[in-house]
Amino acid sequence: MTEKTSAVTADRFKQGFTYADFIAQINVNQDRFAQNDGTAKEALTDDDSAFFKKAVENGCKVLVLGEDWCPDVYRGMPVIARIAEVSGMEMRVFPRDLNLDVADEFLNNGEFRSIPTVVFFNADQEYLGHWIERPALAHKETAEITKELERDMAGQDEQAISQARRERVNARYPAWQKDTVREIRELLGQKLGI
Amino acid sequence: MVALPIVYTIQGCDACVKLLNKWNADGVQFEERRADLSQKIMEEARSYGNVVPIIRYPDGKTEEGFEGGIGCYIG
Repeated sequence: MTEKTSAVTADRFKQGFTYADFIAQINVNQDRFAQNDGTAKEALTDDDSAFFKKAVENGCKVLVLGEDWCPDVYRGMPVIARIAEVSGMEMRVFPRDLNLDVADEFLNNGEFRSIPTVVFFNADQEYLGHWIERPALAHKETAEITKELERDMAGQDEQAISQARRERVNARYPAWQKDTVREIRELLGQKLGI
Repeated sequence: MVALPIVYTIQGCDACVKLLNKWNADGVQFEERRADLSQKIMEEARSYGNVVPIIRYPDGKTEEGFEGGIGCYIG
């Protein structure tokens, strides 16, 4: 059963970028998208692939709001692209800052235009559900890393702390990609009854 | 020529907008560098921190964020 209707009509959906076209026009982080495309290939099991193929048989397609500068996007969007690739799901990418009306339909906690925002529709362009930003595991582990750094690097240079944070967070990206698959599968399973 | 503070920003960052609005209103002279427009500037910003806005003062002092506002993590 659908819960809401989006401003994204079928015609507008078609106007979004394909993933390849989105990547071709970004200004920054091509290398990081490519790196996360690589790890995303390991994020889905055969069972996950079979599940998402069933979702496509149920008419499921996906829109992703994102911007190239954002780590949550260059980590998460490749996961959605991989889901689309293995299942044949139609995927369209919309730059958030050029589509604020769409972003405002799916605010994080009713307030933030967080990215990526991943919106699923059925074949009739009816809203199925959406997923925002990062899996709960990423929130939990980011907080843990912050505590570790406060403990391990107290009083050290801020730039050294920033670099250490970057390394510890990046090391967790493959696990967070797998958890993204798990959460999205859970969402679609509930919405589509599969 | 007087060295100015450099502010690294990205489009769509609320804390960046608040900082720029405040400094413009206060008449502060600065140079804005948009990290979302160039890989070179993105790497430059990352060398100083990982949350924009990042302010690099002429004396080498660096600040991240603005008045407790939510900045944007650039990795």
